[in-house]
Order: sequence, then structure tokens, then C-alpha cells
Amino acid sequence: MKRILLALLILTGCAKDYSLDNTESIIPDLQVEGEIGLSFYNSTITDTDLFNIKSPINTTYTLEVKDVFNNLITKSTLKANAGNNVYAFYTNAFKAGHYTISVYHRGQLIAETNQTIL
Amino acid sequence: MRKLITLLLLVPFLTFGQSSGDGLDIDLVYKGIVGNADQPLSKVQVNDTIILALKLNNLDSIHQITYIHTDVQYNSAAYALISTEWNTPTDAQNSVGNWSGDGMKMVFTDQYDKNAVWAQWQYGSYTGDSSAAGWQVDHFQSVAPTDIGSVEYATMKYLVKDAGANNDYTENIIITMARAADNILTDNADIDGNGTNDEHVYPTGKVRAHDTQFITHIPLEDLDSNIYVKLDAGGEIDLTKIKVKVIEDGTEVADLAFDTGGEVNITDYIISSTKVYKLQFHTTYTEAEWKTITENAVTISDAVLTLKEVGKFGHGGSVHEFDYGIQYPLADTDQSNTINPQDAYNLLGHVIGSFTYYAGGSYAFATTFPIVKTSVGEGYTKQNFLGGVSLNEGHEKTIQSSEVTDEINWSAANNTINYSSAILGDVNLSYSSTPPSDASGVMSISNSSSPTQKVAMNPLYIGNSNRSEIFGVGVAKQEVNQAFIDVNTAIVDGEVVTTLQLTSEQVAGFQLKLNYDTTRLTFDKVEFNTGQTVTNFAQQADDGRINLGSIQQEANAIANGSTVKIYFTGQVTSPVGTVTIFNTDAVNTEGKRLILNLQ
Repeated sequence: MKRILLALLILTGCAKDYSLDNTESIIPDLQVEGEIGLSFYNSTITDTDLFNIKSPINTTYTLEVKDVFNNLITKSTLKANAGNNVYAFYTNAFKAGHYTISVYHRGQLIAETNQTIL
Repeated sequence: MRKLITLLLLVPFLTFGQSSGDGLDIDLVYKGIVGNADQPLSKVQVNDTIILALKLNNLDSIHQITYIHTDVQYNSAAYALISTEWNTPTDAQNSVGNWSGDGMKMVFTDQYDKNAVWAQWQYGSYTGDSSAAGWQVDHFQSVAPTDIGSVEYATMKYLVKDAGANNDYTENIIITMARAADNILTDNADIDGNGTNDEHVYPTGKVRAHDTQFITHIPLEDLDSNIYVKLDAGGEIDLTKIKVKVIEDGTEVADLAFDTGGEVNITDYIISSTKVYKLQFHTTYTEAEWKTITENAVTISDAVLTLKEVGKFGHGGSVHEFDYGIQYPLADTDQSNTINPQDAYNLLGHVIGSFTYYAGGSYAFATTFPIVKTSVGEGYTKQNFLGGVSLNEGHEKTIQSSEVTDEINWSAANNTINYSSAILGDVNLSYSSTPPSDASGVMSISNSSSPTQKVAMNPLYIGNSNRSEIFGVGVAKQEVNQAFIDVNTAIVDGEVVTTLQLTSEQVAGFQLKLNYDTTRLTFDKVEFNTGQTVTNFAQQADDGRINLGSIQQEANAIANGSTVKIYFTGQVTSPVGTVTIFNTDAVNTEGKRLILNLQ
């Protein structure tokens, strides 16, 4: 139900900066152990799926998506507040396939995961 | 209505009307040729040895078969019986008899069905007149102490002979007569009332040659060469989506897909050394897929390379930018047999997306994908181009005719007919066959234009994570064959903005194609900050993709640090995944293609 509510929120949203909400209550499936990290629901991403970047401070992160040939497909800048930051992942501009998603902070890799974008 | 229902109910029985309800079927079964049990009869050649069997199917649940003989008539001009193998019970007495040698032929009675072979035995006859010349009848008999059963009781091998063009091959091997009996008296009744059970002979009209009574086949020529077609299409094209039709005397006889290695075996379809055979190439790529391939193949580096060639073309043929003769017709977009500024601008216009120079504006596979004999393509020179020598680029190739006699060597065990392909406008051959370095059409090559033949990188560059800084100070400038663009998408003042920043030196042009989420975003504008002398372009395709880039048409460098910003408006809450980049190309100030890396 939470995912549905979040999806509705995304669909009715407008271009704004950035994370949907910072409350702990909406992200039980996106918990990140420790102070900093990245979490998806599972290893597949469909359009508007959410993910969480947990940050120890208010800062900016860079998220890169690379294909299986290590080609950079897209890179985004995300502002984050201290704590959990939930974002929507849009997939309509991707070809379905396997990708590596990496999050950097000031050029330093802080989290990386392999995902299948459907 | 009742009649109709009755008729429908009878259909299954009518279908099997040729077999005997409580009798015996004898089937003349074709079992391939020696060495290839799967060889279809239609492909049998002269000098093959075909295998036939007489298969029994006893439909009588009471009686067994302890005696069977079957007469098989054949045309000895077309076939010769080589051997017979038996599959009968132990202690069975098996024999093959030939009734009369050459010159005997069945005259079927019209009182019974032709395949009622026991009835034909009793009421038909044989003739030895002139019509029987060349015909023989063999008699395959087995007498067994126990049931022979529903088996292939005799298997014969016949050598296929060349009976000449005028031979009538109709029913050249045929079952003419047969007789079957059950001599196990306990199965039988005392017919004559003498107190002893009698032999049971399968009744008249109940012994049928069924399913097959005869074979009619005109053997093919004795051709033993394997024939393959090989297509080299460059690594970016899925060869399994390219197909070739084999046309025999104007009739399509096969439509075959290439394997992943670009090869297809057409041996089974080239069955005559005298007929006309043609190949017709086509594709299973959709029109949209093929259009994408042509767009990806012809990029800004092709346009710049052609611009460079324009500056040198015509100086007696001694100065050139192209490395291979085959590049000239690919660059000659106005088909003028020269490389002139119009060719370069046609390519540039194509890259920008403002127009296409393809014939009729069509991206059709048939007109954008020239296919040439590999030997012709590799040997093609600039002088050939200047002289208007045709490459025969069409998709229909004659591989055998009265005029074309050197494609297939019938005395060779294997023939491979090699073709190479290209995409019109792919001047740097990124999606096309590249001739080997020792081909006669190769000119002096000072620096490879192929991205697969990379120039060695400066050791200072290798392993350094901060590539842009290395290039920024020009450490690797002399050896660079890559360029870098920093890319980033963010939400800025309510708009999604993708920023591209060139971070390399010596880049004369670059091109990128962007996908964006058309369900949520609307393309707004592009802002170039590339300097006063650079031509910029941005074109939105029908499917929403944005093709953009910059070119310094005098082949000077675009300033390191130049930026391009693409703006979108729409309904998103994060920039992640809203814009992706799927195709890139760049060219340096020498007109050489660069590998453009995003970072």
C-alpha cells in the first residue's frame, strides 16, 4: 500500500527538488544499515520505483548508471538531507537490461549495486 | 441433413479406403540414402544409393503372416538393385527372384484397384513387348515357421542411375503384386471339410499396396560440392537478421538466414550445374530498426572525414585522407564520381537530421546496404572510382548462369562465395566491412580510422582516474584517440537540465543522441556555448530522441570546456533516469574518429 501511495504521489508530482519525503515511516523496505548507503526494493527496477540514499549530512550526491559494457548511460545530481532520502527512478528512457548503479559523494564511491531495469 | 451427417461420419473411413479392413497393407517405404537417412527423396542424386523397405501391416487380428511375397517392378535404366536385407523370424526361408530379366512389365487389370495387389496377381498380367524394354520385376519372398509380423520384412538398396533426359521417371519403382498366407493351422478353419484346418490366404481385395505403392523421382545431378555464402557486415549488424533467397531459374527454392558468423549453407538448393541460380539478400530488421542502424552508422566523424578528403581529393590521386578505395563510393553521396563539398554537406545534413541523401529519402535496407563481392570490394581503388568502375552493389547476385561460370567450382569439395557489405555514408567503415591491410584496394594508411584499431595511449594516461585533467594539460594530445564529455542531469529551477561539457582537446566535432522520458517531459530548448566558429545542431526525431552535436567545419578544435545544455519541462520528482544517452561519436582535428566517452 505504501508503494502505491508513493507511486500516486510521484505521478501527480511536478518537477521539484528532490526526495519525496524524509520520514522513516515510508521506507521500511528501503532501510540502509549504517550512516550512509543506497537501497532499492530488490534487484529489479520498474518505472517510478523508489530508492533510498541515506546520508549523514546535508549534501549533494552523484548517481551514475552504466550498462554491461561499462558505458555511462546517465548521471544525475541529487540533493540530500541528513537521514533517508527517497527518490523515484524513471525507466522509460532506458533499454531493458542489466545496469550498474553507483552513488558518489565528491568523487568517492559510497555505494554500488547491480540492477535489472525492466 | 441425415445424409450429410452420415457422409461426415464416413469421412474417416473413406480416408483410409485404400487399406484393407481386415487384410494386409504393404507399404513401399523410402528410408533415405546410404550415408544419410534423412535425405529427402527430392534431393536424391545420380549415384546415390536409395534405401527402400517393404513394410507389412497386418490388419487381421486372427491370422498371422507366415508366407509373403511381393513383386517390385523397376526401371533398370534408372535403378539397379544392389542388395536385400531381411527382417524375418529365425529359420525363415528368404529369397529374391527375378522373373525374367530385362524386359518385363506389369499390365494392371482394371477389374480391381491398382493397389489391390493380390487381386492384381490373380487377374493382372505381365507383358514382354517393346513397352517392357528396360523394366524388370523382382520377387521378394519369405516363408517362416512363425509370424513374420508387422515389420519391414525386406529392405532393398538401389543405385540411382542417370537414365537420360528423355526418361520417363513415373512410377519407376512400384509394387505390382503380392500374396500373403497363414500356414499356422491352429489359426485357421477347415474350409474344405476334410477334418483338417486349411491354409489361410489373405483374401482378394484385402491385400493392398498402402500407404505408398510406388515412387516417382527424377534424380538430380551428381554434384558433391558444398556451397556456402559468407557475408561480412561489420560487427554492429546482427547477421542472423540478414537472409538470402536462393532463386533457381526464376523460382525461389529457399530463404535462409545467416548464422551468427555470417555464413549460410546453400548446398541443398544448388542442384544443377546448368540452371541459373541467383541470390537475393533481404532482412528481417524492421524498417524502424534499420533506420536506427543507418543513423548510428553515419555520424559526424564520417562527415568530417569526408570534409578532409574534399580538401585533398583530385590532386592526382596521390594525396588522400581515405585509406581504402571502397570509401570513395560510400562518401559519394551525390553519385557524381567525385568527392566534392556537396558530399560532405550531404553527410552533415544527414547527421544533423535536416535531410537524408538516400535515394528517394528512403532508409530502406535494399538501397542503403550495398553488398559486393569481397574480392571486388577489397580490390577496389580510387582509380576505379574515378573511372566509374561499378561495384555491382545490388542485392541480387547471379552465382551461376551461362555468363557466370566461375563462382562455383564443381570439382572442389567446398565453395564459399564471399560478400562484403557497407552502409552508404559510413565513410569510416564503422558499420562496414574493412578490407585487410594487404588488399589491393588499400592505400597508404598513416593512422587507423577504425575504432577497433586504437592508437596506444600515453602511459601517463593509463590508470589515471582524473582523465579530464590529463587531457586538459595536453599530456596525451599527440596520441589521443578518445575524447571525453562530462554529462549531468539535474533539476534546476523546476526544469530538468542535462549539461554536457567537453573535457578534451583536439576535438573537431562531437555528436550525441539522447533519449528522454517522453511520457513525463517535454523538450524545451538547447543552449550551446561552443564558440563563434562552431556549427551546432539539435534535431528532435519523431520518436522523441534528440540528435545534437557540434562541428568545427574547418576542422579546428572546439574549445575544451565548451558546454551544451538541454532543457526539459515536465512532471518528475527526481532527475534519475529521465534522460539517457545511447549513441556518441566524435572526430579529431585530423579527421580521425574518436571514441567519445561520457563521464
